[in-house]
Amino acid sequence: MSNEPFIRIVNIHKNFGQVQALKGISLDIYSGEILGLLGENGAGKTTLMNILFGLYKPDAGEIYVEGEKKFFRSPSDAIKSGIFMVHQHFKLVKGYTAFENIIMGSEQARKIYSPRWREKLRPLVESMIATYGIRINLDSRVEQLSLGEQQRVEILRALFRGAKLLILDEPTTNISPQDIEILEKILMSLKKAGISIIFVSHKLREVVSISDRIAVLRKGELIKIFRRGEYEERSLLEAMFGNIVEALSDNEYKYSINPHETDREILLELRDLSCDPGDGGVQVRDVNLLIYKGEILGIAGVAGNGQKELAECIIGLRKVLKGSIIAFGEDITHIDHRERMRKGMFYIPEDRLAEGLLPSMSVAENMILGIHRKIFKGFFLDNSKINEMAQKMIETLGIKTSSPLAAAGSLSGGNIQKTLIARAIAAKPKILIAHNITRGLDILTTRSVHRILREMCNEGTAIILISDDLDEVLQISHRVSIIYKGRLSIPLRSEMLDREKAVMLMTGIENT
Amino acid sequence: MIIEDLVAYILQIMIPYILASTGIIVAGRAGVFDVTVEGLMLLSASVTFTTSYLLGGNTWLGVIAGSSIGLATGSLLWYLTSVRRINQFIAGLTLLVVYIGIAGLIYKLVIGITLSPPRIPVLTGLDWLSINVPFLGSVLLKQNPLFYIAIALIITLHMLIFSSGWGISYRAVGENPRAADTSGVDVMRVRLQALIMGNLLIALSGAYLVSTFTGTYTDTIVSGRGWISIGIAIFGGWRILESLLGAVIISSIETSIFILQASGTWIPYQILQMIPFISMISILVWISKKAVLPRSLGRNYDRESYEEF
Amino acid sequence: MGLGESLIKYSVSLLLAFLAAMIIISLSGSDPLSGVASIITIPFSNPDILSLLIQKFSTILLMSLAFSISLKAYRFNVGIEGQFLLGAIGAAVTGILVNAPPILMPTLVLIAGLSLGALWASIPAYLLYKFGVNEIVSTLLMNFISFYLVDLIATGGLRDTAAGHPMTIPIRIEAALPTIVTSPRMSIMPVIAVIMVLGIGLFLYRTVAGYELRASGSNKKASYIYGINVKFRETFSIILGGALAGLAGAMEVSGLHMRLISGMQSNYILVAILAALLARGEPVWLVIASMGISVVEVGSAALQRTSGVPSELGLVIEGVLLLVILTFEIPKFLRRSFVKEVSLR
Repeated sequence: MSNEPFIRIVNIHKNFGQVQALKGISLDIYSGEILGLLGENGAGKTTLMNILFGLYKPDAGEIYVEGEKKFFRSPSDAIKSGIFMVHQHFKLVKGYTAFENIIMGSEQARKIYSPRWREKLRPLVESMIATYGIRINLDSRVEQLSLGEQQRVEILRALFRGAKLLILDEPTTNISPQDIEILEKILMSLKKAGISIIFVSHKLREVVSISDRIAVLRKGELIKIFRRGEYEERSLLEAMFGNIVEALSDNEYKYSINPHETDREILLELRDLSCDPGDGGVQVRDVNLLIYKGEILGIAGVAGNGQKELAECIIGLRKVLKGSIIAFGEDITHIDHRERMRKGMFYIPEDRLAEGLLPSMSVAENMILGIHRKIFKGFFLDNSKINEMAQKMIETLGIKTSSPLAAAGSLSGGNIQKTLIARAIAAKPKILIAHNITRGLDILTTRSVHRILREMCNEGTAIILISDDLDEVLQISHRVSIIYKGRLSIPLRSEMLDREKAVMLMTGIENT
Repeated sequence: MIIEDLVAYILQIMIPYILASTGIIVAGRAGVFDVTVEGLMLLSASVTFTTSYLLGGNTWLGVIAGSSIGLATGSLLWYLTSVRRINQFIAGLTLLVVYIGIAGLIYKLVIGITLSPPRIPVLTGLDWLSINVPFLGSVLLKQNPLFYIAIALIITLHMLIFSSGWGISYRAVGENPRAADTSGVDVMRVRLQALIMGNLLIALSGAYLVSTFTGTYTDTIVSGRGWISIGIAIFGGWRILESLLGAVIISSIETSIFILQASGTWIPYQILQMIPFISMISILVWISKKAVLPRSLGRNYDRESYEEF
Repeated sequence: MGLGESLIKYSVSLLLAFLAAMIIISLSGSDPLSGVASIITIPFSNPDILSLLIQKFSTILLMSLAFSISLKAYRFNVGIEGQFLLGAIGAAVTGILVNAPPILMPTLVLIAGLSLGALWASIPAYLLYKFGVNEIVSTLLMNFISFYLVDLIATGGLRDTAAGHPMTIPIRIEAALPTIVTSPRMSIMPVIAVIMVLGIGLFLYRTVAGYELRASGSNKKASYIYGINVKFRETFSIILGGALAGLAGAMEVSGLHMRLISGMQSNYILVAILAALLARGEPVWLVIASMGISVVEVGSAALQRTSGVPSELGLVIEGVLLLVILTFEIPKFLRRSFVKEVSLR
């Protein structure tokens, strides 16, 4: 490592509306070092990297590359400065081969207007492959490659562009252990060649094993930088999560165990369930779970470990590969989602915009989506009834809108979320699958939502609460299971699962 | 002799189709679904005709004028869809309607309402060689210059977009604009290039209609060719050389109908006229299962929108 | 966008549209100001032209309603022209050939038109449902087929040989729509049109099916997740549009022309699309947009007769108006840009 930093990030601030995503982060990056960037969801890691890569503009602060101040207006500027980012969800063009993806967007390729680009560029790519020892079949289509191979294509793409800093965003989330080993070897050879690497991750084990230094972010601030060999794992966890021995939350907020829990009526059973990973999804495997009437079963985990796939499988939007799902004593494995909803299941998807909201329709109309046929059995629907109900929900949840008739697309993110929650409440489901429903909500609203969830289970609803927020899961669930790489840990009663252990399960330090 | 005439006729009919469908493909491969085609062809034809007429019969200048309408349209469409983020279909349909209006307007303003429509000189065929090459001779070598320009453009564009290094990044914009963006490709700029090039070709197609064949303009001169060209683009899987086959099929059908009509068949001419359209629909159904199209076709790109991974 | 901003937006658009009009009018050698003034005033200047205005309004209203219905499901049924003509065919054939009790005739004629329009639309609708064939192209191609169909009938066995232009013999007197005013002749066309608008408005906003249709157009994926049969709703919207367009065609045959005339589709498809886009598919606004467009259409046609200004002027005015409005407003809820969301991942 040289003495002068290759890149200096100085006092970067970034706000999104009211939310302060980054509060004055300063960080130096040296050539030929592997810098690990650790932190929970929402800590600001991805935001910071997006700024470094030119996808966002900082509200304050500067970036220096080799001593020169730089303004990145787009990824193209960052790439010209030698910075390249490999995203968690690979940005490869389907239908193109590995080779085509590697050269896509590069100056060299764009300047070749003849068919000779293959001859000219192929040797360059092949020599790169030889130099860094990254083996890939250049002529396979991207769809035919495993996720690990796709990642290598992304890395080759960065190298082809002459990256001097390679940012890897959550690189080990979706790839197999063998691929992780291969990745580590590749990173070592890049490091030897003087290339800097920023390894953004939650996966403690991998970050620790590979990083020279580790920077820990929490809630938009840089907490501490650790050097290899100079720290204990525990201090890392503390930096990431705060004091991990005590629960972070307010004691009076901890709810007592729901007396209904002794009612051991099983509403949902998952038996040896394996779900179809589909196109680039996570394979949920060998899930065995019982969910009781009136309980909240929390599923905690780092985003991207199969939560969405599991949720979709239970509600019926995703095929079952193996095993079965039994609801209300009936095998529903092959029943479509519409029928499952009619039986009393309901789903709040995580992607509220793409999969939840009807932007051009009113708030009230959004609230009845899914239950509109239950409420109105005949031909007609009664708008005054809908609006009345919506008005009540608006008050209960504190949705900031001028009226129930306002277009839902004009609401801010948090209020959209509340609208979708209102929908679930109105549905009065017997089984509710809720994925990240309090994300983006302030503390008070989150607590009122939790209260509502508890009320629902008092009435007998079983809730599968999937959340990236470990605290939330620990606070309000009766039992907790950790999801890691598509597998679920055995559910433990929340008071029996301490936070430290949960964190270790989530970050893969311990096996489920 | 008859076969030669047949081929010649088919080739003549084909050119407007492949010009227009190539333009549609060029725009489509960058992710923009251009539905203004029919209107642009009509407007370009109108401008070509009236310009030529006003300049005393200089049809080449008319063609240039008509083509520049394509340039303007491309820029306008880019502004509406990439900058103002208006839905591509809404912007395209609106422009379509306006263009149809302006096309008729310009013609009436310049020519007025006459009993016998005026004509402009048609672009004449070239005499490349003095030797008479059998078969290929009259068919391929004695076409008008615009014919050769069109063929050259189409082949060049196919190579550029589908075989060159430049084309890899270009097509990435139509497949996965987010991937292209994070690879440093200027998506906005590529779309502007795409729309300008594409609409230039479409306008050229309209200019071709008026400056070859009969040299007259009527408001039925396009008569669905724009829409059929979209169908041809879809048929060709949004690839230029492949869509040629579609153009050949349609042109052959049209030619057959012409022959049938001329031979005095009992089939009512209205039924014959329907056949190209019925054929196009059937072709679309036939290829529907294996339809390939640029994955981001018809969708505007917004770097900041929170999209599904 | 607040009320003030909306007002500015519409005023500027109107201004620019009429500016364009004035330029065109002067280019054709007439006085721009009086030209623009006549466009707005002539349609109301005498009972005959007022009657024409109201009839045009009825057809344009129904046609734009037809387009709007599929627009609400985020589909583009540009086949309304063909569906209109098929409706006209159904009405004419029924009106000429069918001999039913006079009380029933007008209703039968309208039903025939409605059904044939729906049938014509159901072909591309089915192709969309079953094969995923893009409806913009397929419905459009059907339009061209319908032109020739009309021509076939208008020059076939039902042809009026005395007429110079291809058209059928008149329908029976009993088949004609009842009138509300006798001099000048005005049938119940506008009444039917307005009733349809109210009906569709009711359908869209007061029924479950209408709700599902709008939801499908608002967010296909979310609608699917929450149990709506999106494919069915989309298909249905196109067929319903076909019925409405067919009704318009039938109305023109039995309320206006009394026969099937080749070319009667005029430029309705163009103005209907403009009206629907101006009104964003909302039934109430459709009435206003259609009326405005009808005035401009009738006015520019009159202007062509009196001053020789090309009647396409109307189309250009309406088009410029729409373009300017579209450019200056992208309602937030149509724009999928939620910057805040990206950070909260």
